[in-house]
Amino acid sequence: MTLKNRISLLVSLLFTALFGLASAFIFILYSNFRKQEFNDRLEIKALSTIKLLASVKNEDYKIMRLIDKNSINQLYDEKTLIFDADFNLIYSSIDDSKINWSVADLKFLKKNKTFFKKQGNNEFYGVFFDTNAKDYYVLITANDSYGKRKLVYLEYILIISYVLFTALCWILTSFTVKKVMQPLGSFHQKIKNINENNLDTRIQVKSNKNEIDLIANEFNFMMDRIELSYQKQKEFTAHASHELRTPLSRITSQIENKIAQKEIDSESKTFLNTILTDVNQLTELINSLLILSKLDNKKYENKETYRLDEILFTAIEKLNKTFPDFVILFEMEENEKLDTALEIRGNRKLLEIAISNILKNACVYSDNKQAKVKISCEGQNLIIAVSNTGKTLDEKEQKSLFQPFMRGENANGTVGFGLGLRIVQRILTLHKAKIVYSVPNENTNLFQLLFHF
Amino acid sequence: MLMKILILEDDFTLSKEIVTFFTSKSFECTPYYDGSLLLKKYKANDYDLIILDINVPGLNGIEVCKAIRELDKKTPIIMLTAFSEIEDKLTSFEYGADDYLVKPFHFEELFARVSSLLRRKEIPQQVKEKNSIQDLEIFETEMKVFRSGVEIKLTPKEFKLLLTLANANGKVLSKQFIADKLWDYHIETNQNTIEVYINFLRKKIDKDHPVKLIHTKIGYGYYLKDSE
Repeated sequence: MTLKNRISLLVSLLFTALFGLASAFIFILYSNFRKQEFNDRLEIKALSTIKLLASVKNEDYKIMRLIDKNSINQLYDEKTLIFDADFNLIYSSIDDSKINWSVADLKFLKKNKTFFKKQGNNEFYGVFFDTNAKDYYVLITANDSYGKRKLVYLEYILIISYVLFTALCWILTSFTVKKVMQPLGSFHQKIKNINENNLDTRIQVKSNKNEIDLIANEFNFMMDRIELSYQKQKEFTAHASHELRTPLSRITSQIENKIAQKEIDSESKTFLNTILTDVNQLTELINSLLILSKLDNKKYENKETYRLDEILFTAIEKLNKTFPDFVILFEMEENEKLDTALEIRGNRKLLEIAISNILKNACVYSDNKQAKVKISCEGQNLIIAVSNTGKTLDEKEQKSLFQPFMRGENANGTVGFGLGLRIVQRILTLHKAKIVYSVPNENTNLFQLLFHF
Repeated sequence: MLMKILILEDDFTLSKEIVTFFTSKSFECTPYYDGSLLLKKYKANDYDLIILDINVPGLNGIEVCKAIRELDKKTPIIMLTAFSEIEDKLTSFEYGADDYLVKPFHFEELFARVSSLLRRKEIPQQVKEKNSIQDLEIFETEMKVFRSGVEIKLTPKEFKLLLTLANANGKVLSKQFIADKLWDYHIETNQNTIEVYINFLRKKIDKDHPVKLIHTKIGYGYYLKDSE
């Protein structure tokens, strides 16, 4: 679970629980308050009835009933019973609603003075009056419909607001947390896309000093250091390869001059030629390393437009100087968009290096000194397909094909360092193009260069 | 007469080897190790060719090249350098160098470039050759093409194709003949590819004009003519 989801879930759950508790607390307190209030009212009623009874002469209960009926203390569904000390009913109010009582209740009253209990829908209050003259037991029952209605209303309010505000809280929390965490998300997206070609990526930091900005700041400092050390490493390679060139040219020139001398014997000549071949290889390696170290997005902006077929022909021409008996079977597939597709914005020299590396590979690994080159259009891609027959690569080797210094099983006995394809891939990436290797038929190597137009 | 070469190279061994090589090829060599010293001694038209290393003490090769070009516009200059960057190449050409060779180089290659520059110096510029069919004008040496006075940009291959057709004076050329003319024996191609290039050319030459110049003889080949 992401931090974002966890935080919103936690906050929402916490709110749900706390609001639920608060609602229950309010409900219980109010319900107790209502009970207490009604109890008080019943008590007042009982008291006033007893006072009335004491003041009424001749035990004229009719008047009393009348007063009772018109009393402002009238309660809903009310019934009052008054007993004397011997548990005889001496007064009963006019209502016909039933009141369930027992002698045990009266005995309980004598002992405890008062009780309050629930009987069906009604509340039931009993009190024992110990006056100077007489003892009275009063049982009074009534239905607190107003109080109950208020309670029910409160319950509705609480439930509805609980549901409503909890839902609102879930939505708002998730929204707010998402908003607060959003810089972290974009941070993540940016970091994800960092590779050796865009080490200059930095995170935008806003002025407010929250934790994310602090981390972003530190991250930017870290990227500075990484970029610097990467740059240093590249510069080192560039300088080293560069410095090696002068001694190499010294060696080459001396050997070449020596070989050209007439008085030299054939054995020494062969020996010198072997050394010269090695020096040439070393030169190629240094050139490759130099190209790799200098390949940089910023340096080679794709400014000018070139025709890929012309670059291909130049590459073939140069290749033929090194491999004079090599033949290219060239083919172009007719397509409406071909002429625009062939136009590419980029660095001519680099593209030439890329294409000639692919051709060189086809040459070196070909078993019949032939390679097929086919230019075609497919969708929005211009495809240059270079294929040759010969030993192919297995799946494991294909995966590491574009890694530096990778050489396949089929490279046994051939000259090279395994940098060529790495260079091709880097150059094509700069031109937003791709290279794909496949084995379409047994014994056939196929490289497809895909240029998007 | 001996050809005279001026060499600026600070590496003693390398300089010595270059001198040895060119001496063996019957050139007269004058080596310098310092750029500013060279300039002090330099007089226009004393040498047939100049070889300059870029990275030398005193003035560097590019500055020397610039200074020489102020005195002397003609003498061919070849730059030698350990920089293989295209930017260096551009600066050297801007300052008037004629060619450029990256170290380490082979003497054969250096010699080939030297010979080609010397030859270019000897042979006076060819007379402008113009080939025109109706309102189409082809300038062979400048590799420029105009139709109704408007320049048409062609790639080298397209230009060669047009020139081949134009040089046939209206004769029909087979696809095979065209293929052999366009590509040397290192490249074998099929007839579709020729059609593709003919179409490229048609788009550029004929598309916007009512009179079509490139014609097809079905089953055989193509020809360039102002009418059917």
